[in-house]
Amino acid sequence: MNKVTTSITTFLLLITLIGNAQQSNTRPDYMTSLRNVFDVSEAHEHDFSKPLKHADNELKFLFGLLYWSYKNFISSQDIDSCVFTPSCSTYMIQSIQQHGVFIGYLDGMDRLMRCSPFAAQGGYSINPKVMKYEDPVE
Amino acid sequence: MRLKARSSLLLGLVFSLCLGLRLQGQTLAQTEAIADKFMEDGNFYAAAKFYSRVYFFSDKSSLGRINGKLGKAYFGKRDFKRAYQHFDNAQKLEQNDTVRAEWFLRKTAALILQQKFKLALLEMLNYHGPLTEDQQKKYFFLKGTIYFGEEKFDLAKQNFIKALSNKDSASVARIDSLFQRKNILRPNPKTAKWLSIIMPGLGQMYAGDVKNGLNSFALNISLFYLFARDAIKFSFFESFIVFYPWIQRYYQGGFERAEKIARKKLRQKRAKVYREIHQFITNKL
Repeated sequence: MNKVTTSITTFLLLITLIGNAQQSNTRPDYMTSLRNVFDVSEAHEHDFSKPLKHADNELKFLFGLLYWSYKNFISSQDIDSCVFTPSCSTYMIQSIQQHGVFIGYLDGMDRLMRCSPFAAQGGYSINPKVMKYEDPVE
Repeated sequence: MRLKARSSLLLGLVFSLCLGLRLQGQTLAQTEAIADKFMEDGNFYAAAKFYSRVYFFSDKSSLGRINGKLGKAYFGKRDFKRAYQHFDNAQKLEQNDTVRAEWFLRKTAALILQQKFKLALLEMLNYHGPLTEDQQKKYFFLKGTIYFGEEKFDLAKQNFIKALSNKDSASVARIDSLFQRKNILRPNPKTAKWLSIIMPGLGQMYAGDVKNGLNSFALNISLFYLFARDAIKFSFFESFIVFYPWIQRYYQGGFERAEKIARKKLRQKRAKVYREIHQFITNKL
């Protein structure tokens, strides 16, 4: 009987908490809501130093450093030419992190060779957000 | 077996209690009162749910009022599309001029928040109903906002000035100063693009991103240098074949980026100007 009482009390508490969590302190004043109508939403900035921080050996660190430099100084100046998402450089570094330097490097090179305007023949699905072919590391 | 007997006993007890008590359903007025309470507390999700229930069962005479309340709840939820629909219904069903004008103003605000400036302007220009003095100021402020979004800054300024409660020279000068060219038209994305076409990196620097500009300049100069060196050492054709794809990518990438950076900077500056105008005018509304 005690268990039943505890369960009911917990359930009621949870309901109250959820109800309170949904509450907002802002009042729906439409003139105030207009204040941020022209604000520019900050696009999510990628952290290219992640592979550097997570490298567990020197070789992975070296590849991480190459990736960081490429992304910051070379790729940032490039036209948007990669047909896949994630981009080839990101794919390679993810593959290296997942499969190790040797297999990851080969996998990355394979992706680079597949990245061309004829990639559509590969039967990839399209990511509607970025309108690019979806090809994550497996 | 014991458990089954206990369950039957419990069921019997509940059933007899139900028979003993006089059960009564919630009336529409009570449901609306609960929804009002949720609105007051800022719980728009719950309020919208309860108003929807009232909306479903209510008679024709109260539909205008309920639509307005539903619009407010959705507006609070930042579901501006639904808010617009309900304010629109409320405006059509409402008999009182002042209340109808209020729904119209809220409806326009919902459109503005969806960035549908052209449609909002169409609604504004089609409205010919009476407005109170306070509503008139709000009307001009909303109209100014629409023109601001449409980048028609002269019209926006005129309407913001009309929205001012106190049209003294200081207030007008304040609005004028916020609409200076450097605040709303600089950096020009097209200028940034052309500057980077003339000299890689220059457009980015003009837009305020010096680091990116230097990066672009260094990269392009290095590629041009390699191209020239190989053209002298071997042949122009050979050097062209080797370096043209790289130069094209980074040169084009540079001026496209310069335009993007300038556009983002411009939007940020305009957003800041609008926030200041909003604060200046709404404080006095």
